[in-house]
Amino acid sequence: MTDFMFGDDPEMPPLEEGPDDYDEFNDETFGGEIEEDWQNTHEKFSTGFGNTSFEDDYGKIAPKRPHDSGCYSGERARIHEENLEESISKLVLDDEDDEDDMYGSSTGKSQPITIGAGANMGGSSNMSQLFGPSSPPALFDPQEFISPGSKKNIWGSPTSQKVTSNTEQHLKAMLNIRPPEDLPLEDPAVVQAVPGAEPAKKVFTLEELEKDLTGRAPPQRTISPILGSPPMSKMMPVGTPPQHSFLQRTPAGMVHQQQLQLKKQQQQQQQQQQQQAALQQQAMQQQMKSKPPSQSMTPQQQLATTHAIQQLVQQIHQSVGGRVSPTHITQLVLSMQAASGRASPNQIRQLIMANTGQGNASPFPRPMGAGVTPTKGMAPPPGMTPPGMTPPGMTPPSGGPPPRTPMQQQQQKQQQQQQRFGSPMMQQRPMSPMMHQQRPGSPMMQQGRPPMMPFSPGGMMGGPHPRTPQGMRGPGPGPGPGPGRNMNTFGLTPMHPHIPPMRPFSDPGMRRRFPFNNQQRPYSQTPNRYGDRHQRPYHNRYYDNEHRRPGPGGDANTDDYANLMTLREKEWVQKIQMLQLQSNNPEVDDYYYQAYMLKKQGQEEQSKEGVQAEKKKKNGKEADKIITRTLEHRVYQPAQYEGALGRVTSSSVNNPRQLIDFHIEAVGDEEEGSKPSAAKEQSKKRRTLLSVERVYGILLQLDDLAKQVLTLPESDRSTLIEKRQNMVGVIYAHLKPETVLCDRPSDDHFIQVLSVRKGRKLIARVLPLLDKKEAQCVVQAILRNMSLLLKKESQEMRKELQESQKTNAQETLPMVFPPLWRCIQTTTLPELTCMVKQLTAGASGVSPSRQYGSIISMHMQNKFGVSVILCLLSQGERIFSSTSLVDLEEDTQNDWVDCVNQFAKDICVVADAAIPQPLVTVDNVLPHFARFVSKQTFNALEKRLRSITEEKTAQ
Amino acid sequence: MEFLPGTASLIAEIDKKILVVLRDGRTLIGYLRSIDQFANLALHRTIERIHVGKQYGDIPRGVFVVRGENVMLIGEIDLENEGSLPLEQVSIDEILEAQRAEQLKKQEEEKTRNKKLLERGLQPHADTTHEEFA
Repeated sequence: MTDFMFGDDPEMPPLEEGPDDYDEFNDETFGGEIEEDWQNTHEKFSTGFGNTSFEDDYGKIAPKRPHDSGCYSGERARIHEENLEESISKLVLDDEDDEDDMYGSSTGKSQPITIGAGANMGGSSNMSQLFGPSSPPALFDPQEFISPGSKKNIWGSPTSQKVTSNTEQHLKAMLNIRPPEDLPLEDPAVVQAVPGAEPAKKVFTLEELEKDLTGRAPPQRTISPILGSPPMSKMMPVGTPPQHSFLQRTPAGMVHQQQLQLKKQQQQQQQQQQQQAALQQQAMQQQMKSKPPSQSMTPQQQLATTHAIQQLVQQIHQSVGGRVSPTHITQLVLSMQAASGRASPNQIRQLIMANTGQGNASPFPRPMGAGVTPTKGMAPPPGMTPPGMTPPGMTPPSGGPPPRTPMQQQQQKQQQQQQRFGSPMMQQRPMSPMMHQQRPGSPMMQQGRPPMMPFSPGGMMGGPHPRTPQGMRGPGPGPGPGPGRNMNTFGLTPMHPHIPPMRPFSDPGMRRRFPFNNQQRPYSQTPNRYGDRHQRPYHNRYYDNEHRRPGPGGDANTDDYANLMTLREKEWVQKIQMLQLQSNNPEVDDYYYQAYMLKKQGQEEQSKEGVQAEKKKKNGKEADKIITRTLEHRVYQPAQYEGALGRVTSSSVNNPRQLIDFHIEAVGDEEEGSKPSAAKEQSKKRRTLLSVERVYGILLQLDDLAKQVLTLPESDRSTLIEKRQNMVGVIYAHLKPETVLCDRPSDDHFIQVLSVRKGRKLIARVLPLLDKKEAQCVVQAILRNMSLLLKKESQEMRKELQESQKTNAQETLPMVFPPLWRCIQTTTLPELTCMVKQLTAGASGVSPSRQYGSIISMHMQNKFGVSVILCLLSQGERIFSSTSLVDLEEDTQNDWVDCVNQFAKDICVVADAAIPQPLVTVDNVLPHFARFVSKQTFNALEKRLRSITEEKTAQ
Repeated sequence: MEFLPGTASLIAEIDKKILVVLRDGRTLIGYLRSIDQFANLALHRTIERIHVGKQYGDIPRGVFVVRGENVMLIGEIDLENEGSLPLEQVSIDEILEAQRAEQLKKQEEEKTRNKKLLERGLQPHADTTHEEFA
């Protein structure tokens, strides 16, 4: 049809100039507006509805506030002006439709109506009245246009839907109760067909309106550079007639069917014309009866009616050629029924189908009461009518009885429409003019904001959109069917400057931040948040002309300079900001955000799991480590100087508080006491500390690597894992647990590492990272140097307790134990035996062999030592109980038995009170002893170990 | 609540009447017309508002382009309550005079303070930071 107008070409670049052109266009359209228009229409409607609740509802919905009471009239006036514009465009579109109609063989009916000419004709003036004030497309509920899937309306006010439905219901009720009252409003087609039936007062108003319209007929204007300047008669001032898009969506087969049916119907029409002519008079009388008494026709009107009938007959004649006016069809149906009741639903349906096949029927079923049928000839519901929808057949004023549609027919129609448009939701759309009168009172308007034009980007993306409000106003000059056209309108429309184009972000960082649909999130949310405000500029523009005169609308609305920043520029800024979030190394670049998200996640999980989480907390603290970590609270004690009079009270820049407390440590004191060796010791310790520090650095890198590995897909991990392996190797090399000097293992360095707290902590952290063999080496080294380790630890503990006067010094060995135990648990029997030998060998290496026994005994008196020993025994028991004796080599078995016996002997030496509670409870140690030792020894062992192996289980 | 990152969040304020406090303490009120990623602002119909005590005065400035780094604070003006400030509007001359007087007074105070500090053997710090915003 009019595809050319809207560039089926999807390549058509979005018009940046669109908004400007459009605004100019608006300015032109809204030359000088007179408030009277609105007042007139308002009066008219008030009378039209009688004392119906227009005012009431309005008041209810929008209680006037002191501040913007003035705004209201302005707002309303604006809406009416909008409506006027709508009607103008409708007129023009009708034109267009006629000319472009595929079935346009009936030339007589499709006479182009210029706006000026239209004013002279009673029928069109009716139309303009009906379309005009009562159909503010801008008010049409934005929410309706949102695809059913997406609940979020980005621009709509949340309340509007409710308001709409309420009003709709109210309206329905009203219509049912008082059919006579709504007659004048019921359907443009009806009214149009019978202009004479209009009350005199109304006619007058309309004429006035028309005059006004003529006076304001838009001059020739350039639309958009791409579209060129079409001649005036072809001008489509507003955007998509949704009708066409609907048609586009209709399956091709259906269209074909409709065409066939249309032909059929045409034949039928021919047959029925004569019958019709006779029935028209009758129908008209019926209509007159249904009119309220107050609206009885004047003689003049009656004359007009008869004239209209004649015209109608003529039209039907013409329509034989292919175009069928919906009014005619309605009449047809009426007459068929009135004549003989022969009009089967099927027939009617076919007729209607034929009509809709022309693409002129209102896509929306009308929820109004009986007597209103959404047939082709009828004016589409106000507010939803796209300009192009008005059927050509109705432009010339024609009399005729108003259609009295049986309910049945209406239902059919609805069904049919449902079929066609597939959305039952649409049926709920508010359609009465009154609705739109009320809408200004919606909360949205209360805020002095112009009605919004919501449009869901989701809907946009989701395919052809039924009808978009902005489509009606789009700068495009012609009705372009199809989704492509919609898209273009979208691009052109200044109304939605905040819908950015779909830009998928491939950046993982971005996705992390916005885990939702990348295409929709930042944008669809933005308008949602700021939506109505965003809309304002546009409307300001839209109402520019009006605001030039001093109005109470507030200065926010008088903004001529709004939208100086174009959509593209805004997008650009957004894009730049989003780009800044991209990072290849979020753990470093964006650490705080990552940590925050981790924490949040942890909290969520915790709250989600509830009881489970608590259990988890008991088991392992790692899960919620991040959350529970709190800063250690330190009380600052101001420095005290010996011999000072009074104390230094406050700290300031000039007198900073003491942060570092350093003193010279005399380490060697206890041992040798010789000064040079003490200094040597110091430097050695420092070197050790430095090397430990270095290993910590590698450890941190390892942590980062581990995180990176997690973020990568499986396939990419291998290199990182390799890298990690290398680092672990480096760490291991740094520890040097097994350097061999002169064929005797030298643990010097390792001992040094172990001798500092930091080193012990380091080992606790490194152990889990090392592979089994390396870990066992480290464990063996630890066991070898256990006595030294224990000595150091107790020494340091004592020192620390003395120096810091703290009640508790932090032990480091308990930290070492868990990884140690884990390592021991992976050992086999030979390895275990080897470990035990290391434990004893270390002792024997350091001390004379006679002390050998007492070393174990000594260990047994240390918490860490006893834990380790019990662990070793427990692992032995596990091995023995899980594997059959046959599988174990005899040698290793014998070795192990020796070890166990040795243990038993040494443990028996220790007084049972001297054995501390171990770090873990192992309950299989005693059974293990039971395997190998004599009854007597076992009793002694049991006496000592029963308490520590079973005590905790009792707890 | 989700925000657009960085200055993109300012897009919501476009074409709205906003108040901008600059780093040098000046207060501008105008319509935000354009922004960029540095929060450089283009203000339209700008006035500079000077507050002294309970009085304020507006100096019309027109179009004002603000370099983003100088922006200390941006806030939307509540158009509804804009007229009901608990402050008294005075003419430009008056407010400038008041401002001058205030500055003189501050300088005087500063001088005496520094003097007293020196008397006590303390080096007076140039507390420039809090001055504008006090």
